[in-house]
Amino acid sequence: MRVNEAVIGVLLIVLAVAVFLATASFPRIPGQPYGPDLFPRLVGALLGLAGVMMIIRGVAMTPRRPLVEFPEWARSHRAAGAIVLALASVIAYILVSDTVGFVISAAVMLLVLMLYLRVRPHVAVIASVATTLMVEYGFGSLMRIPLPRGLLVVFA
Amino acid sequence: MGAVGQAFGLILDVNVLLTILGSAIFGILVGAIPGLTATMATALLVPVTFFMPPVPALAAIVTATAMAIFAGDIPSTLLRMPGTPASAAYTDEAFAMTRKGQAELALGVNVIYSAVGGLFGTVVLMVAAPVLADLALGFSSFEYFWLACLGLTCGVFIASLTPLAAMVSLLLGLLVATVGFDAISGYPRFTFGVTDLMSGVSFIPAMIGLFAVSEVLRGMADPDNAATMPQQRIGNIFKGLGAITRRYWPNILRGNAIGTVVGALPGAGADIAAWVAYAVSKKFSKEPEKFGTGHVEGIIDATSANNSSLGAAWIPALVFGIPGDSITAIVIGVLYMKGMNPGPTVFIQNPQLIYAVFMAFIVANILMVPLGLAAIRGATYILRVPRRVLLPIILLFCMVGSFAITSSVYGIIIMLAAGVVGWIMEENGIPVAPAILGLVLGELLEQTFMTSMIKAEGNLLAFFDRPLSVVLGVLTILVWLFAGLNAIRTLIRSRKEAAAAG
Repeated sequence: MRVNEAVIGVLLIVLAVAVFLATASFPRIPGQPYGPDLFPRLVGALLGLAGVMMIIRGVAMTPRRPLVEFPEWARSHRAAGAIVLALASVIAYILVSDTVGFVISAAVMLLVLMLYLRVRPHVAVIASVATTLMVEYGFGSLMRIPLPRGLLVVFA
Repeated sequence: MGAVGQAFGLILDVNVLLTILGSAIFGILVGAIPGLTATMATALLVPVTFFMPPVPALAAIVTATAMAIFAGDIPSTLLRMPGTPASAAYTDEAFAMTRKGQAELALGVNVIYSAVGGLFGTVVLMVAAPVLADLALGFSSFEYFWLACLGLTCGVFIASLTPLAAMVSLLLGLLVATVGFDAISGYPRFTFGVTDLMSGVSFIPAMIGLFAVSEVLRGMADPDNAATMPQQRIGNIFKGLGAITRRYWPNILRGNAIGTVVGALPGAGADIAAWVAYAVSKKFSKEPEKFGTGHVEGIIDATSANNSSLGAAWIPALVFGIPGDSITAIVIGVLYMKGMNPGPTVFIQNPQLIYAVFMAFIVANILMVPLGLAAIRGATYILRVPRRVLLPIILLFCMVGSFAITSSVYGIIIMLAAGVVGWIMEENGIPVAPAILGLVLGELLEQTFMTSMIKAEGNLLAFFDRPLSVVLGVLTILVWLFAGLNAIRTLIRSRKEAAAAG
């Protein structure tokens, strides 16, 4: 999704204002003229300035460009679906991995993504399971990263 | 000499050498697969190195990046698909050589002069870093503040074709860097009551998101690996290299010099080094009309430059804690995690570690020749790995890597957020590298700024009180003025063009 530079500019100004509002409640250091709000405000002010410049550029350089444009891939449902699915699978992993465990969540995630990308089913199954077990062994056993066991706790 | 001897002991350890070999193979694979970059190789490697002692950890990063930048030339030459952005400058030229039946020569030039370039950059790093470190010992917060400003400015105005977009990216990075406890007052900022955010946005997961997840998302939208290897047997790649070296040795020197300077500039890395070296080569060539038709001259300059920039980028990173490119931006994060805060004091307290890094560079670049040869022979197999299988696997590695850093799904959440933001930014022409620069340098910039402000009691002239701070400050302001004027000129010109067109 490509948006017009003017739109980005407006968003940046909104962000800058938000920074100023959020820093208003920061405490001051007694006897010190500069508090923890100074630096974020400086960055916020520059962001606002960049936003104004973006708007000027967006209006001056591309007056007839639409506010939002969709590139080639977004017009294809399959491509847009792949991105949504990838994001959804990460979110699903964040939500369920603790209960279900690493091995099952990771293998299912890989399998779903590969099948969607039209990997041949037997290749997808082998690749997902092999990768998951390799990661479980390499990161979980060798590097001792506490990957969640979840439902497989009985085998531990 | 004690530290050098110690460094030898550190690097000539079986485990370290095995780590170097493993990361070399990893780097070649990542570099040779189009769409995966050297920065991504570093990002994926960091969670693994997190559990290693400093020497193998740094050696792994050094080796993987050197190999990846060279290996990017393989698909670039054979398929006209740059394996990493650092090969993009001379992809067309190298592929034109393949079409003329000179693939062997192009690949031979790439592997040998990449290795030579890498060694050249290492020598410069070995000579320059200790000298600069001596100088840096006398720096106060004022000098560090200006240096950080200068570094960020270079990252925005030199390293990018669109300074305004790069500035937005940088500012977003700086803003994110302010999340968490403020270093001066200890007040938790922008945490929204989330405990995990109090120590700041976790750097490594953010970087994995920005550089790797955004790349996976882009790849998911277009997973087709159209690459078909031309059925061509690769013969002796070293044939004719002697004659080329005799004829083009000034190009080799020039390419290396350009690569080293560009690499040492904060923010500009291997890809820009290659573009600049290629352009300079064409400009000063005796036969510029041959460029673009499969002429080896420009490739020599550019392939030397991108590898020599790697070592040089470590100079500002080790000496000042200011990254020379996005790879060393990650390295600085690793150094902090290992408790070796970059800066001149590392050279005094842990010189053996610094020497070990130098040696890792030398070992990696010597190893590049045999491994590079093997990779070229095996190119048919490497290039056949389908992206549609690889992308989900890389996504899983990103998640496990982020999880490993924080030992909780908090790392994955940061990674996901950074990945989406990075992807949206790139879709809209805003580069992500300046954001990483801002994220890394944010704390240094704010701390030195606040300390300086408090010392100066609000008198801004104090920022120019010391001889070195005058030089650095005036230099920074000159770059700002120049960049500002340039921006206004571009705006006026494009406005005129728009008016003429409408």
